[in-house]
Amino acid sequence: MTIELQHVKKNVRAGAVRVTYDDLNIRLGDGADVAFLAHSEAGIESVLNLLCAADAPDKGRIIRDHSISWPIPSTQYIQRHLSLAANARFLARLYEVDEKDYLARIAETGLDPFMNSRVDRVSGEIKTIFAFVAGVCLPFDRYIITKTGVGKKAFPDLADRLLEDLRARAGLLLVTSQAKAAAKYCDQAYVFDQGTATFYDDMEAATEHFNSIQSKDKDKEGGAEDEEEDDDSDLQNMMALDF
Amino acid sequence: MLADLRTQFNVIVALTIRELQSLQKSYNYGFAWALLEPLMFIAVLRVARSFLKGLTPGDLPPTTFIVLGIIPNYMFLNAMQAVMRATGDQDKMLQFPRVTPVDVGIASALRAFCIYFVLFLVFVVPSSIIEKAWPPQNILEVFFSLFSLLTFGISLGFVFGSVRRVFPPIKQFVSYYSLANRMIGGMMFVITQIPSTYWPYLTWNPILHCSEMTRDGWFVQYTSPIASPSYVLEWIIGMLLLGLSLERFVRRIPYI
Repeated sequence: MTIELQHVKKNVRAGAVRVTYDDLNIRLGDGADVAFLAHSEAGIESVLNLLCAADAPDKGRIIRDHSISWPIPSTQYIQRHLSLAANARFLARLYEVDEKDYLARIAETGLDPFMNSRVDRVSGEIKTIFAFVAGVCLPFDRYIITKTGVGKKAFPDLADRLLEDLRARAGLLLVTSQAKAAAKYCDQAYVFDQGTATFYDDMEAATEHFNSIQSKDKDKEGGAEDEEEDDDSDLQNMMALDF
Repeated sequence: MLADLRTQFNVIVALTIRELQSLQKSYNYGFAWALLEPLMFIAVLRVARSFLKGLTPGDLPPTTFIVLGIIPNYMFLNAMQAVMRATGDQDKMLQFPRVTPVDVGIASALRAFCIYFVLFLVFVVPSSIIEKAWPPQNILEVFFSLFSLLTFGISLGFVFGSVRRVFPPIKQFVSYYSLANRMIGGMMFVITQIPSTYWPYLTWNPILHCSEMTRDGWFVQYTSPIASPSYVLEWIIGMLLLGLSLERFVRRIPYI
């Protein structure tokens, strides 16, 4: 039960991002918790599109023999003029799960008071929490998570609790620019940089590699004079990775 | 195999319901579109009727004649364009790994079908009652014609959408085709109004056959000399095979 990218070539041309992945080999084994460590200009969204079959590679082969989620918490599919419950019903129909049971599972995470509210009348945070919970409550063999700190203000422990539960029953693919979060949830990592993906089954080594890339980038930008300012800009980069 | 088909059916149902719900967004007055749009259409038709009276065959009721020509033809064009867009562009629904461009295309076409079928019923039933052309003489022939237009629209949409993936300027050709089809697809005429020497230049068009079948099935006083269901079916099967094969082929090509 794996998802594999074999000798994949992909030209990424998305806005300012100009990267070419050549001979990309990725293997997501059954149940393994894997991190994709990438900065915002690594074109990782295109790699995720390949994994989700939303796009085709220029060359190479992609083998999928287990189910995979979409990048969670993507809010692209959410209809703003419908209620949270109506949006959840769409997912239930799409993934052939029992509507009542699925809605109840979403509601019991704390979203019950908002379920019948229109999406454009709830806060952005609730919308993101809904997108996260709705994805995580569906059964997949592997979940693509692009944000771990969802809804920290409204429901401080929710994301952690759901992620722990998810790791116990399925594989996790965490796409992040936060090496700390990756080390917390994953035991393998691919570090994406300049069209290559380097595999690590040691999170410390992956973190070290990724941090060296980050610091190189900072040097290039010429912003290494003020450490405090750099911490802030780094945080901004991390937030940019919201699909 | 059966399980896969059932899954695909459920995916298409989910996407179609979502497409229909999205109409609420397009029309800020919710489902008022169902009343507003036909009312505007009626107003236009009422004005046009006086001009069109001379163009419709003398023994056929003019409003029903026009409605039977316009709405099915628009349904065909909208279904074709919806499938072409869904196949040619990277739809956001494709982020769901179990959704394929074929599902998105069929769901968009079914949305167009639902809209135009409701419009068809809303217009054609009252107008034919008022003009004493009720009930239709062969309702099965009418439904066959509507179903043929939908499936032919889907098939052509797959062909054009797949070509658009590799050759975007085809969009321009499609708009010319749509325009030409409005002229020669039998929207405003029946074949008996055209001199028989010109028939060979028009009867190759399966859309004209569908228009003829609709009127042949509805009016007691009109029998089409050319309408051929088997000819339409041949076109549908050929185009569907071509469209699905092309779609399968271009799915391997990255989006531009």
